Amino acid sequence: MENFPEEFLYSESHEYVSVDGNVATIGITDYAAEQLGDIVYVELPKVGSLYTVGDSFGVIESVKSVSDLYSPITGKILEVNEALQDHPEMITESPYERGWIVKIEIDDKSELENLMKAEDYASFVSTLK
Amino acid sequence: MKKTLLNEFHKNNGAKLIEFAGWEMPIQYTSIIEEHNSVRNNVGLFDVSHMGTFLVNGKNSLEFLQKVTTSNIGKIKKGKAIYTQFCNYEGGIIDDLIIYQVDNNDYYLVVNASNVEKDFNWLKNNLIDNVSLLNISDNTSIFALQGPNSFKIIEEYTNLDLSNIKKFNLFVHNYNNVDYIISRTGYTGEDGFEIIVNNSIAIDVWNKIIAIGKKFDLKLIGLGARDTLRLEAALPLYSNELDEKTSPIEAGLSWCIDFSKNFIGKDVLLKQKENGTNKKLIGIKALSKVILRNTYELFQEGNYIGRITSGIYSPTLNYSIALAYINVNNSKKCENTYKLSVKIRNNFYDVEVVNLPFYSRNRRV
Repeated sequence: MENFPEEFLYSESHEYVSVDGNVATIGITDYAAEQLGDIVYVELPKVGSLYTVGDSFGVIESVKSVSDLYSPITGKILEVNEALQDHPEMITESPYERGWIVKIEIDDKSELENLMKAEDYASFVSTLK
Repeated sequence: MKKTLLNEFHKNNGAKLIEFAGWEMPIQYTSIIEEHNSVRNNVGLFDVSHMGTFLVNGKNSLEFLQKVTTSNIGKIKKGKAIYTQFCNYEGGIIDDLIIYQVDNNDYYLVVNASNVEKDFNWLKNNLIDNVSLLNISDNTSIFALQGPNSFKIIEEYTNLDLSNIKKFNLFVHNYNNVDYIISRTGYTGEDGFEIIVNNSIAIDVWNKIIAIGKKFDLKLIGLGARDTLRLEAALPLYSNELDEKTSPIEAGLSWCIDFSKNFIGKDVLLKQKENGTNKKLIGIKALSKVILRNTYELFQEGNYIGRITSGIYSPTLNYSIALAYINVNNSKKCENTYKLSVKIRNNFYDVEVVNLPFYSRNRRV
């Protein structure tokens, strides 16, 4: 059963955003991880690089597919989850905690209004089944 | 989309279904890596009924098969199977297949799902007198039971001593008065069996194997793990490694060709054997954590040298492996120890050329 934490925001490309002050922690939802299957590689961006909404900031690879990671907001990469290099499977095992992917310094907080709340994302996902 | 007899079974057992060669087939039931490891370490069951089956019989069957294949079919006897290819007059591969000889002048041919119609037309156009060719694909199911414990399951299932059934041997078994083939062949690099069975009894046979398999913790395996298993064993896949512009020599299948007989494509292949070819199939491994994929380009000292045809993360080896074609002026000069680089999303990563197969159960660490 999928779990979409209430306090997070969500994009249509299945990234979640957890906001803490000026910092957004970004990963992919458990629904997306389940769809990808066994995750075997994550290509992470460089710390300090800038992305605008919709930019591909990385790549996630399962046994059978290659998928881009899209930035749900504009900002600068503050930190990447280096542990994913050796343990990409953490994205499936713990998508909202140990499986986070990047932390971004939020450039413009008004962009967050374009993201979905948990309830809306859940109904969005139900249309994909 | 075509469906196998077991389509409902797959859905009820949690399969993710995809379209493959016009068929709705299971890509995975639980996880490709888990399914892969089940076959390597224990046993797994595949529904591969999308594959095509032709029946060739009549007193000139052998002469006909000698004409249309690269291998010497005269070297097998009743109860044996052989891997071979159909080539066109330019030496290009029309398809690769396994031929099962069930009796004198009585052969089953199992071909790739995507090539059934093309193969049948090619064979029909090259047919000789006193040979009957029948496409029984629509009435036939094919199952593969693969893995180190498959032998025990088949022994219990048949209630027979199968110690004389070696690799590439087959026997005819009977269920409810219907004969069908059990052969010690597969597409995983592991010990295993393939069952070629009329649809009238296929579901019963499948269910009986599942029932016996329960105590061996048999797992259902989808096409996803079938691909990772075959690639570790460096078994080629039609339309990836093999096509009508590629010869068996270029594809590393020279060992299949018997130049002492006449067959379609022989002249071109003989020239290639004598003069060498410009392209060659190689195996490579990634030296970092990147995943090699189909179509990625390869470079040697900055120059484009070839392209990957199949690439995966290898669950057994824990790094990425790939098959690729490289351009060589003379394949005889090609050594197996040099480094190349692969271009992935505009970055270059080192890869190493390695001997094939990547994995063999006989030299497992």
